[in-house]
Amino acid sequence: MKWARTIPTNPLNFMQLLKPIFCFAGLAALLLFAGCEDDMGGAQRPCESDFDQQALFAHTVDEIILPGYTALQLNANNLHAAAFDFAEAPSPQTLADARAAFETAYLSWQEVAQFEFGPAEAVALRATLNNFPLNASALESKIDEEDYDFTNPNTFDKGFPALDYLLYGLGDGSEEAVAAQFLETKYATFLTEQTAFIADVAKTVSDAWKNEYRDQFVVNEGTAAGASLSQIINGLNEHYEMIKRDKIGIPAGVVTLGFTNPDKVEAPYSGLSLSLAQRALHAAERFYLGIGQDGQNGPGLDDYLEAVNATKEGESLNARIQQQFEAAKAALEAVPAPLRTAVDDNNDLAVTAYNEITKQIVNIKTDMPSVLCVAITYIDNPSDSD
Amino acid sequence: MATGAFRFMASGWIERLYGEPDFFFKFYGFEWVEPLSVAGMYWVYGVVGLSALGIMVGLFYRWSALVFWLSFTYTELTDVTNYLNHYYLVVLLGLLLIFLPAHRRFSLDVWRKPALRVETVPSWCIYVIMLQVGIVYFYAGFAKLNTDWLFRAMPLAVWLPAKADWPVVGTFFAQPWAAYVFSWAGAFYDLTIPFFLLDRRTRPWAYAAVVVFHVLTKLLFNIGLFPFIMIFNTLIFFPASAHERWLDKLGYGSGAIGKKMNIPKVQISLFRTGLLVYFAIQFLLPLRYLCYPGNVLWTEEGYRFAWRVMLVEKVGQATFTVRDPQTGRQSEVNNADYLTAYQEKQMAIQPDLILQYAHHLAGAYQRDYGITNPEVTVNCFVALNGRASQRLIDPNVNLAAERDHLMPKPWILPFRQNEIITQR
Repeated sequence: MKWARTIPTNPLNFMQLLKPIFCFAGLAALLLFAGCEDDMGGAQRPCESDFDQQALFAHTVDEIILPGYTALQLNANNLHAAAFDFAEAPSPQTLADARAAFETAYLSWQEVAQFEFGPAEAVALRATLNNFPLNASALESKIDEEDYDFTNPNTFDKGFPALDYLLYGLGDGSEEAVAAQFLETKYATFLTEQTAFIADVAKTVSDAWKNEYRDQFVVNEGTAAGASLSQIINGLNEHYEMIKRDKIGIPAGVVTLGFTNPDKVEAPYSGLSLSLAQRALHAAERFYLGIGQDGQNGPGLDDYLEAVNATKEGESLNARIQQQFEAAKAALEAVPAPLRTAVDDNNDLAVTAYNEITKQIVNIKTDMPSVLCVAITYIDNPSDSD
Repeated sequence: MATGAFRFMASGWIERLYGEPDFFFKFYGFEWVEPLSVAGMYWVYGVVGLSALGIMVGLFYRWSALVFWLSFTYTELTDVTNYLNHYYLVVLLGLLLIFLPAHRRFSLDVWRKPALRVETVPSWCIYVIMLQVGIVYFYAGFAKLNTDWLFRAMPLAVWLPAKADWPVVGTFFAQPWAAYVFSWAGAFYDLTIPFFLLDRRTRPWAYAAVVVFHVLTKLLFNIGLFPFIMIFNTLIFFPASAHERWLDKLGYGSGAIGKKMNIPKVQISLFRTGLLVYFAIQFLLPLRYLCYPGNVLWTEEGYRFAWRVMLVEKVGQATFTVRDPQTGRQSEVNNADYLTAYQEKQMAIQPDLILQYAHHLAGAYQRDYGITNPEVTVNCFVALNGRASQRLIDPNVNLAAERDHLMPKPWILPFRQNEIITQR
């Protein structure tokens, strides 16, 4: 054991040690420079653009999100009024009015379901209004128990799916049968309590956006998790995946070895499922393109992708996304309503629609955040990272 | 490390890591390691913490070190998705500590048995730690010499602007060139710091750089105890006289008795062989990626145990389809049914984990749905360092029929370098 105790301090020695390292590093750097100039296509700077994020956020809030909630609030108020009239005097006529108001409100919900961040997330809006498939027996016992708490995000006995059942599914579903059931007070009360709750919570979220969240959202720039950009992208993706999986995939049997689940469609009693899915898909596309309620196309994620010149397999990523939205919409149009029977009678069409909707996901969930350099940290690590 | 163990227990990570998952990803060759129940894992972490304390105060040192190494290594072997380079470093240092006489002076063991006390230990005891730390830095720097790191400033260009809300320096982070400065400085630091630490004249500056660098990384990234480990580890580069001076100042100076440690000849030759083998492995293991075709950052073949730290921002999605070859019926898998969100995220970017999970799915479908020899395929897309995604896995390959091995995996699709996004 004659290893020297002293640590090498001889400068000559030390430099000799360092020299090959520097030479190597220098050489490697040179080689890399030489090797990659061509690939890189000159100055190429990822994560850098002069795209105006605030203009995107302001347009998204003022022309898409706020008008969406305003419409929902209005339609929810109309629904409540119609439900109230029906509960007061159940008849085929008042029922028809209530159903019409329900349809309008449910469709306008599809427009805003994807904005589950900020005020909507705070009240778990999506889970309180639209957990489906409905558990009808849980709903029946909720009605029996006169339980009018609609805030539990984990139950499947409330919200629009409950109204779908109450207005279309009681008895044999005929207008007379439904109207007859509402002569029972607890049904009438439950209905109006539920519609009042929807109108209430729509107002809560709408007000929160108007009062302070709007300004906060517009200035929340950057690419960090929690910045408005990441909220928009996550919101879009989360709901898009629900369109894919919950609205189409599960009923069509794609996750159950091809055995279909017609009862698990979004609105089995009214037969609105397909219109609801179509509306949600259109809303996702408009959200992406930045098309407001007035039809005007303002700054959207499409413009952001163009600003960073994002390409995929030699094509513009934005163009690919737009094409895929068209393909998905077309495939969904091709499915004959109602979805509940189509999943069995035209399973191939439902599965095709599912596949076309699915193809978009890699574009908007993986490619878009990656090229916009949004830090993908919304799945938080259970411990450290390295 | 005791802090680490207690931090794990206190932060509820044990439930999240061992309680929530139904399935654990295994290390190749260690498939037999199974985690205990959550309560059991609390005991294991308790043992890790206590034995680490034992090492620290030098009580029953050899046993503490052995128990620490075994229990800590066990916790690390239970799930690949939790693999971190700095935990691997702790495993290695723990192994070395078993054989090093780190309890012969300031320790309760010496207080128990004064005869153990020595003033000096053979120099190799110091050198092995230096060498180990040097290897870590050097390979970490070596791994940074790639085009993404140097010429695209990736992934720092993604991570730094995310911290733009910091006071004062935040605006600096948002500058496009900041990521380049950090990338180059980081590579230079890692490659050269062991050498600057070795030289007496540069050592104080080098150590200052160590502190600044690691404090900065601690603040910028979620990397736990690693910065502290390195800041304290690198103190070993200072000569004994420097440590003695500080000890004197702190009032722990001791009347030198000048007793040297003697190690029997047989032990020495054993140690020498052992260390030779150990460091040969340490030198070669990080280079094994050269045996695989393709870009190691993409295929991750030879990626682990090689000090590739903070090199990639990867995001992937892996959608599995299980098919019954008899009936032709098929199902798309909801990964959330089998994995935690974190496991899914890790799995989707690492081919060997994708394979393990495919086998797990085949087993589950065989058991739950009575499908014999189910076929498992995957649509897997991964985006690397700010690019658009590419397919990582051949979608036509039945993964259930593929075995895991250390040979190159032909079903990993190559990375297409020219698939980059061009800006302006």
